[in-house]
Amino acid sequence: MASVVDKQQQPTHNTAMDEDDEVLITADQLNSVVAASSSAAVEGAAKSDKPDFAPLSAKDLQTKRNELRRIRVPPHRFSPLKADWLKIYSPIVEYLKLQIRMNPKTRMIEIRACAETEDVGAIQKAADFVRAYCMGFTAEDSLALLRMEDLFLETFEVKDVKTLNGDHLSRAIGRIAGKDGKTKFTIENTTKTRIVLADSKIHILGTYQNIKIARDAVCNLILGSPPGKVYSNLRTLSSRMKERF
Amino acid sequence: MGKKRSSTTPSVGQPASVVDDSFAQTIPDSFIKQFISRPGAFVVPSATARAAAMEVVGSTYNAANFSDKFGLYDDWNTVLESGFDPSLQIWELINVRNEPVLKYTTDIMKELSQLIDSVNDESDSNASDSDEEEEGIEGDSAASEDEVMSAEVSEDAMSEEESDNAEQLDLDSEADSASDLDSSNDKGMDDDSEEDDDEEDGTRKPSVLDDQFFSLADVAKFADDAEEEDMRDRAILAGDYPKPPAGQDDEESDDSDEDDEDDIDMFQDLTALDDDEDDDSDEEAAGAKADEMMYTDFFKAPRGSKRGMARASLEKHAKRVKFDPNTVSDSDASEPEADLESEPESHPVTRTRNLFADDDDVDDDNGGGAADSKSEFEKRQEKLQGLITKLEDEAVDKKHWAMTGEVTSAARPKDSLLEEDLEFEHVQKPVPIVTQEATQTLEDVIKRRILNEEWDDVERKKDVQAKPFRPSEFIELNDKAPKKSLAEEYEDDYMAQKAGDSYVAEDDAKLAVTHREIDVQFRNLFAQLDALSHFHFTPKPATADIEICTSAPALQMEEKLPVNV
Repeated sequence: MASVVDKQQQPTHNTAMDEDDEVLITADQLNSVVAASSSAAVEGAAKSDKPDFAPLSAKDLQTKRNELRRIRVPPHRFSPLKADWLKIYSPIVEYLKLQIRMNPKTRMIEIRACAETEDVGAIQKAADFVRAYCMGFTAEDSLALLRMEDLFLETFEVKDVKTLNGDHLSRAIGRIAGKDGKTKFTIENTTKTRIVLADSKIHILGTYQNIKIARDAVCNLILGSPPGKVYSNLRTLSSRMKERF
Repeated sequence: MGKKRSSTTPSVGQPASVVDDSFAQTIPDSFIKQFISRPGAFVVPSATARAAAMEVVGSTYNAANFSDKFGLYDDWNTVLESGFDPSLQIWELINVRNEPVLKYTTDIMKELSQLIDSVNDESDSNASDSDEEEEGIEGDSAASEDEVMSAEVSEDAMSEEESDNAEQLDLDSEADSASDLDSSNDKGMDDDSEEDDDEEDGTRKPSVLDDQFFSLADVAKFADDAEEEDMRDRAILAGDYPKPPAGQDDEESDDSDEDDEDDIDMFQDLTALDDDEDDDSDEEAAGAKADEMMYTDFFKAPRGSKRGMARASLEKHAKRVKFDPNTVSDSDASEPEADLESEPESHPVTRTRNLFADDDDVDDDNGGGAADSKSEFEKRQEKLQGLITKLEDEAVDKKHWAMTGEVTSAARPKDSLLEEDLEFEHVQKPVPIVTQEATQTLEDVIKRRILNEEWDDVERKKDVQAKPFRPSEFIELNDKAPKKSLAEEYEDDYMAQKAGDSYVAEDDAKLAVTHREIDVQFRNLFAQLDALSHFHFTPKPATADIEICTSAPALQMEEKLPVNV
């Protein structure tokens, strides 16, 4: 999820920036003009009890540069995180130029933007990446989030689709997975998504369209359709998709 | 008949010697030799024969005339002195004279003909007697003959050109009285034919179309005759049977008996008749059917009667028209009679077709049924009847053994099954007979097939129904764990999209390498297998191999002697 706030690229943090500030017409100068006009207006009026805030500059309007994000790691992902830590922090620090650290006491991963961070939406991407990993996706699959912007995460529960209890629930989950994960893999391969089955929760990673297809397939499986039917539907859909491209 | 000899009494104005001489000179010997001994001389009318005959006739007539039988010379003289025109007188005289003469001569002729028959039956040694008798009879015969002759002569006189000639001829004929009866009869016939010819000559009218071969008058006459016959036939067919001819002609005295037999009694019931060959039987049969007897059956028609003339003409024509040429012998006539008697009801209507055939023929017709005397309907009916009788016989007969159902060998004749066409159900296939022809044709077929490559291979059947287009079936779902991560997949997609077809994914590249290895291995294997199975040797396919060849001379290369040592 990229940050909605302006995506103005900032130059690398160095002393040249101060010099540039003098050359560039920054918003300060504009603000000063505005402030001048507004102050005049304010002075005109009688001084009130309201606190008087100076108008924010463009720079102030920007979000905090040194933004911090914290993502909690669930206990079942703790040991895999230890194994895949290299794979996780390397792309964040190298490509996104963010600062990342793991707080084992609170079991939290903290990501902070620094002066080197170029991308405004980098921290969001990094946060999503870590979140995806914490959901259960592999680091490689989650890496796609960093690379592509139009990948999304979808999460829903079995009970959202259908209220199932006890064995039915188990059977539904079993249906989704299939023998040795066959059904899940079929869906993943056909729709170019990644699915994580966590008991009752189902996470899907992929593009919007593919998520939809995968979701429909999984829902059909939950609702009780046999895997063969789901397969045939997937086949038809995939052929159509291939034709389109 | 010696009374004739008394003609030596001289008539008025004639010496007896003259009469004797006249009788003696009536028929000269030359005439007898030339014509009477050879009757064939009269076949073709010749002028000489005619002249001689006329002379004889004349002499006999004269001889007869001068006999005192007819005491009419007083009338003669009265006519002569009557003072009429001599030319007319002559005709009157002739008429006066000829009538009694003719009457007398006809009677005498009949008697004489009977005499002659009896004379001929006797031995020829009596020829002299017969001659004498004939000579004695000459007067009568001459008289009777003269009547005929005069009649003809008078006819001739009418038709002849000059009256003088006619007079002369008449005088000659009157003078001659003696003649042989046969000769006279022959003469009569000859004269008849001659006069008929003369008549025909007279009626012939010259026409433009006539030439050497064609005569229009002949054609017209022929057509008229044919027409007349046709009318007569039609009348007969219609049922209008002409009455049997009443009288008989004097000319055909020879055929008089035959004419009697030719008399067909139409109203006679033949079934009651016995053998009727002779006149006696006829009379007996006629006696039995007294109601149906007619005068004309037994007697000739009176002279000069119309019926007699008509009958003569009919018979004349009848002689020409003879439908039934079957002249069955008399002995066969009895058989149909017997048949008729046995089946009296088979022919209730006795229809006759050939009215002018002999009685024998008529009987045969009625009994046996000549083919061309029956009508079409009768023929058809006969055929049908025959067919019916045949079928009836078949039905009544015993059945053919093959039609009687189950037949054992005892019930049928020996070897009869061989002639029957039997049908069997054969359990085994019939053994093919190998003949030269069969093998030749078979080999030809094989050669042709090989040359044209017309094999009988079984061809795979293709489903005619078009398969529905299911692109989804083309896709194979992969149910294995994805080897590529999501990031890699998208990366590969992106690279493929960017690079086009040249980009090959890493995994695909590895796969392709393995594929190539497998390909090579397979090719080697198949080459070895082909070498084993091919009839003709095929060498290994040539592959580009790098060979290192040094351009050193072969001797140097091969030498192994240590040179440098």
